[in-house]
Amino acid sequence: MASAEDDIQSRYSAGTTRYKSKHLISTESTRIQTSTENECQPFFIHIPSLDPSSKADLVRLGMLKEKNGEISPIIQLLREKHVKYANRPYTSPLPGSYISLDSSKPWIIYWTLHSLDLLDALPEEEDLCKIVSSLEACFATIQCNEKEGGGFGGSNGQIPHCATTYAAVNALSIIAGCSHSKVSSMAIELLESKRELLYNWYLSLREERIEDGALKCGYRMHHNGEVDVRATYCVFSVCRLLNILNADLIKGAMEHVVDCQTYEGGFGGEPFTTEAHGGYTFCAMAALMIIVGYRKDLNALSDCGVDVDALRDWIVYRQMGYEGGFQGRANKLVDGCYSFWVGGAVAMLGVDMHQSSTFRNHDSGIYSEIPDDIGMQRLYDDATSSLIDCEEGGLLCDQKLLQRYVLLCAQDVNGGLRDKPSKPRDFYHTCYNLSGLSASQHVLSSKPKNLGKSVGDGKLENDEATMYENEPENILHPTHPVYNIRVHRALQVISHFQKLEQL
Amino acid sequence: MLLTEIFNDITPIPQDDGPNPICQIDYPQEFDMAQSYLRAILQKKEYSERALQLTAYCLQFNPANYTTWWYRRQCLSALSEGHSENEYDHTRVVKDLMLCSKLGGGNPKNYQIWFHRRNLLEYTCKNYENGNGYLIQEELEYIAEVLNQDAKNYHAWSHRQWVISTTNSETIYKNELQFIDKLLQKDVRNNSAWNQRWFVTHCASKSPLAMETAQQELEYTLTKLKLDAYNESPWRYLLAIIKEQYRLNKNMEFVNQVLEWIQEVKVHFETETKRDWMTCIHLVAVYIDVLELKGDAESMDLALEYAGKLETVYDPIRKKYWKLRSSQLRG
Ligand SMILES: [Zn+2]
Repeated sequence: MASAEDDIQSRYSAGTTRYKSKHLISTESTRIQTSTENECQPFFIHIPSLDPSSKADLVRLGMLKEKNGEISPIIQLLREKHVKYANRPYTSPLPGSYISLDSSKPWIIYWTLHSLDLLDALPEEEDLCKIVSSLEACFATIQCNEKEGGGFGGSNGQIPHCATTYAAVNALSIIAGCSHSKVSSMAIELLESKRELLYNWYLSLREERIEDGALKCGYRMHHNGEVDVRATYCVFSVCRLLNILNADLIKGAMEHVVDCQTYEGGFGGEPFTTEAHGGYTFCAMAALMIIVGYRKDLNALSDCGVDVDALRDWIVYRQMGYEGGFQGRANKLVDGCYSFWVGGAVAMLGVDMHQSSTFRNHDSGIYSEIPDDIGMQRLYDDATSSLIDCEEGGLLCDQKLLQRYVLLCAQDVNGGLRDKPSKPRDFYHTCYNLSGLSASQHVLSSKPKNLGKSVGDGKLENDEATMYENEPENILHPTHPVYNIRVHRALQVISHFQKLEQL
Repeated sequence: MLLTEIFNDITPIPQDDGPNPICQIDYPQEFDMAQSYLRAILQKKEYSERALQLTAYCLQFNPANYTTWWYRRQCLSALSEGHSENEYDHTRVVKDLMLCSKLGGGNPKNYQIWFHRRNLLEYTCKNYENGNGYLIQEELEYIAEVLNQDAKNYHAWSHRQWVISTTNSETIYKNELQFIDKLLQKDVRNNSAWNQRWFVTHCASKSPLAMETAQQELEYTLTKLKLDAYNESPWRYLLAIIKEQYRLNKNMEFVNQVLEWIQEVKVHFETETKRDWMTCIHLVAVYIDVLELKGDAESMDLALEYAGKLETVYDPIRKKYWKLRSSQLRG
């Protein structure tokens, strides 16, 4: 009988043994899986054993760094190139091929701005001002009135849409927290002026039904538009940031979201029907985390009726044994954007596990206050879940191999990030690869490393990072796994609006 | 005819991105002009045939523009004689489905196009018994065709699930099992087809399967597992069916039977492949889960032993997960 060692493909500097996928019969799924592994394989080279000219090539591309005449064998995050790429929407008009993004302008802004923010390279104040006024121009002028309210649309002249509103509010929250006081207050004022309209509009998107004697409520993406769990997340994320969440909006939402958990353990987009999927699982979990934070009677996802063990088991199997990145569904291919959708879900799972075990152990201890977002931040800062091996970082996945996928397979050497090596870069994959990288570097890490690297605003927000290889330059700012803007930005916006009256 | 002639009574409204535009897109000129007329008639709330035509024209350039679709539905509604919501004239429904198919060809993952189909068919699905039921059959065939191109298209599957559960016809549910079986014969790793199997056997509800149906499903799944025990999808399906039954009646006899079945797959795997069954991590993982259900000391020890091996040798990427499981198995 062949031993497991025969199956070992190779050992890498991350110190982890990795396996290619196995199958007994060949089907379409196994064929494309095999070709994806083959496509990634050349990127998983053992750098120290490369010949000098290949190393020099990698230095030229920026993938390796030369220090004091010596080439460091550590793969670099191509900061400057990503910054340049993410600045494209602010430097020159986009080509006509971007026409489909005509209905997603706030998305382009959010994807690029958040990428830049993680990289500590927000645009200059002048550009930020332009962004604020462009977003203001997206605030819907049709289908918008005092009574029905309104939101941000895809561009000027469109009806409001939940997803573009989420993107616009996240972008404005990023700007609100930046160090330029003029544009920061412009952003805050814009957000303040729209709170009531947003609230009324969200109420009009509710899609209530009574099932098994219980009220359940999904949200529509826009008037006469589709209902799915993305909408619930987008609504609640905005409401939480702007402090307009209340019982009328929450009513029935948890019941709706919980019904989206499938037999596999992950969540689909709609109740009882659709397949478990990384993106919807993220949205469902994040929406529920917000509900748990709001309702005093709930402490953890399990209190909502989620089968957390099944969810956990589904999530952990999304990490690909060979590639190291995440797939979005069982038997599908690795894709860089799931570095965040699933990576963020893993991060929330960590917070949830910690919360539920903490509540079990300390009924009246320091965590007996309902965990708000500040509480969540505290959990990040000092949590050491005794259940999880903290040597490798506190998340229930192989954080270093995930980072490795992002750094080696998802980076385009010309800047920007991508799904996988055979796919072109785009703003969306740039944002979510970087967000996933950030989520896997920071959350629940408890081992002090004191890297002493200070970035941007003066200090590193979290100096305990888990890294694929010891390269402080590769560390991004921590992102908040629920809202996916920097933790710091989220907390700032939340505390600003907490001071305002609830509507 | 030229746009300027059709809309000679209308003053086009150009795109206004504010005083300091960013994220500007170099629109093709024809699109820019059409979009400007669209903005103008939209503002006037004109619901007319020419408005309908203009939306179709604009959608060819950008089928992701949800506002254009939304406006198109307003026009359809205003121009139709139906009384209920989304009850459009039959000929209009047929025509718009064709438009969707045409636009959908190059955009199989566009939310708006799929949602438009749903909206067009809502009335027909809910009134399946009286009249245009053939449209539903045609729709299922259309989706089958899309799935033939990409067997895991999430939008296509969601739409199919919506059509079937909204129509709620016993015959359609029954026929669907054959459709799924064909797909699984083609690719036993099609997880979307496995998900569809769950959806169909459970008729889009939370109620657990009757014991008899559960047995049938388990047997079906075992035949697929014997084809390729490395395949995650049937294992997830199997485990979920087991857990569902177990929650219902905590029947130990059933758990023992399941353990025997898993043993059977294990032996089959080893004889066929001459490989160590521990390399088959989904097999081991489900075995551990069912041993945990059984819960006696002997089973727990065995589960712990396997979890330890996965952690240290066979499933290193999930090392932390197996460590956590082990600590839970120890109680
Ligand atoms: Zn992707």
